[in-house]
Amino acid sequence: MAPSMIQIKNLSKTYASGVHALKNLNLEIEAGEIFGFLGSNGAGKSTAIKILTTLSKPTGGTFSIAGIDPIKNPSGLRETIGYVAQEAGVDYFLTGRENLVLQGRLYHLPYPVIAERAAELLNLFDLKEVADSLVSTYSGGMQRKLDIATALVHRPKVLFLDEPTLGLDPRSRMTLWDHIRALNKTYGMTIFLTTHYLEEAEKLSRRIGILDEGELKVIGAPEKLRSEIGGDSINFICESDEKRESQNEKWSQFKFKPYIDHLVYDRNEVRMYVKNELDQQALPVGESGFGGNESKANRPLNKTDALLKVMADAEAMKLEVETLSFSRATLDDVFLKYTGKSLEHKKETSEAEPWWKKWQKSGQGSDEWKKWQKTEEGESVPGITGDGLSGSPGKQGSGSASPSAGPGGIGGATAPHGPPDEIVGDASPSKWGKWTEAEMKEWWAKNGK
Amino acid sequence: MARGSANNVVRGRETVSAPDNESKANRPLNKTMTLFFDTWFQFEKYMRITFRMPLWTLFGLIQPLIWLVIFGELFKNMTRSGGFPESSYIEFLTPGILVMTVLFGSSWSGVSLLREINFGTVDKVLVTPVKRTSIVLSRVLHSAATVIVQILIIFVLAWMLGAHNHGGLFGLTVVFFMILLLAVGFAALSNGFAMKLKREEPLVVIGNMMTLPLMFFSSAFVPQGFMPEWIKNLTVINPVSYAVDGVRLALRGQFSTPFLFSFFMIGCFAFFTMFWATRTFMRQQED
Repeated sequence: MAPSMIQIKNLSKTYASGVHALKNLNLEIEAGEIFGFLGSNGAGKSTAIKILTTLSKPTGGTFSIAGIDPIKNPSGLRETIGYVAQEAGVDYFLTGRENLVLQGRLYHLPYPVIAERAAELLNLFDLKEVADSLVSTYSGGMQRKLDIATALVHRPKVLFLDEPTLGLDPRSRMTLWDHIRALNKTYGMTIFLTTHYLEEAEKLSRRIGILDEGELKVIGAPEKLRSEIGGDSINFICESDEKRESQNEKWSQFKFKPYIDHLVYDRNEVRMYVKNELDQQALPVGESGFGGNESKANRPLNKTDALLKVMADAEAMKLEVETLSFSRATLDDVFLKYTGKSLEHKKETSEAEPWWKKWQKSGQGSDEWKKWQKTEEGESVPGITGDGLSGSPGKQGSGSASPSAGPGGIGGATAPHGPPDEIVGDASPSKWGKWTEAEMKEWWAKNGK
Repeated sequence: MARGSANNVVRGRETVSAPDNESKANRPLNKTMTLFFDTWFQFEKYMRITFRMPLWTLFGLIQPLIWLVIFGELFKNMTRSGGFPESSYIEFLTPGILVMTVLFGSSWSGVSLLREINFGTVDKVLVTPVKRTSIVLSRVLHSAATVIVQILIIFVLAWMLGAHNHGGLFGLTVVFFMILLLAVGFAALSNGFAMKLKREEPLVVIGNMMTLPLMFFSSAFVPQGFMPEWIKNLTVINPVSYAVDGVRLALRGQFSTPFLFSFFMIGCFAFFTMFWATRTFMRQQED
């Protein structure tokens, strides 16, 4: 295990307004690690980064970077870190090279060193051609690259990136990811980033921490977090609702299979959630379906095996199915589980839309909508509130809104709540009318931001 | 000590830690020198940006000339009334216009500070080990430097319009120095308010409320003898009034006690506003 580069102990921040932006953060980041803070806007990511970069003072707790205490040796700490803010901090009326030189000057480096490094960085970030044009002529992606380059002039040990690809087009984003990975690899630089893009967190970070309302909810490798929550499902899609219903008896037999956790019926679709503890179940020899038993006699069962088994069983039962797909639990499902909110969902409602559009979109078939429906019928809602999480694995799966972000692309975002066998999925827009104005306001106050 | 342990922790990462030591070795030894260089490099940046926008800079330069001509014509006949200290109104007005240019030029310094904060430029400087004071100092000095150029142009035009300098080269030098102090003072005040208010709109309102009354509650346009008693009393607490008096006395060549007192007052004003602005800046940033 690598030595720890950043040590954070009980770090908290309460603003004068009384907002608890950060609550008791404890974290250790290893040297050479890419760590990602994932959270929605206002979750406290930026506050954390501002404290770690000495831009803001914590109201409680301590931290150290590379063993340097920020209070005893602020300058030493500042020399150790590089920071790229959300806003491009580069000067528009200076050229790329001038920006780099100025930054080097501010780090008290001698000019020959600065000139050499500026050339090196311009080369590294493919900015050589535009090195001597004004930054105001740069594209957004180029500006961001220059911004990162300026944070590297003094060769920091740790690089802090606050939403590094915010507002960039997909292509620039990929380029930037490559650059970030390269920095980590070539210089062994520890990178601490925040993002609210799931893909970014997943593709870049070795470990991620999910932050919600100032609290660190969970921390771990993205892959591990995904597999821990379960929620992988095998989906059968029939050509019509009737077709699916007519075969209900056959579907329900899957409930008793050892690898299936529970079923969800949704219109013309049946989702079979694969048991999470599959790894512990050993697979007897010769039973792995279609030639999965190459080398090991008794290897643990994996999810592909389950998929093959289900297909074999479906074949044996002569089920009539149009499409079959397999959805993995996404990082969004992980996020949803720990924060009760979905990140992807938020992204769909763009800022430019009027509030009622947002409300319509979020209201339609969302968890909140379901919640209202259920409360009207006098039932409790598992999953959305935290208590659903500690429940049985069955409940866990039903808590997630739509674990179907796989290539199968099951449309509609109907959230299955309640017992697995219950048929859900009727969230017709006409039912909006049931909301009173007060309810709308309350919902908006809670979710509108 | 902390530095030593840091290097132990990251042993084996020579690529990163080695150049870091090099930078340490090359750092200026003296704290004052660090402050000087930190300020200089940022000041240089602002000057560079200013020179890249020549048209706007030109507009800024021309503005005081318009004031000089318009006010000069408007109040020309005031010299005919009894008790007016100068025979030529332009000669009387020149110190007023000089001070006004400083006031109008430096009082908006805070607006661009706010813009820089919003762009993230300030944060980018704050994460470096740069001396905190240098951030405010470089901005304020830049304001003062642009004002100096305007001052030169006003002098030339005033001379062409018939105003005379009786203070000689010494007088001119002293005037430059006083103007600089006043510019520093008001730029610092504007930066301080910018940090407190954090928004452009109220800052502009404050700027407007501040500059015009301060001009009129001074002897910039009208000699003290012409003022009602209550305004005359207000001039005692008005730094602009001291600046106008000081500049006027210097241009008349009267370097006696009243002049020294004015000079001292402007010096105090610049020092205290600078101190306040720097402190406000540091407090607000760390919050």
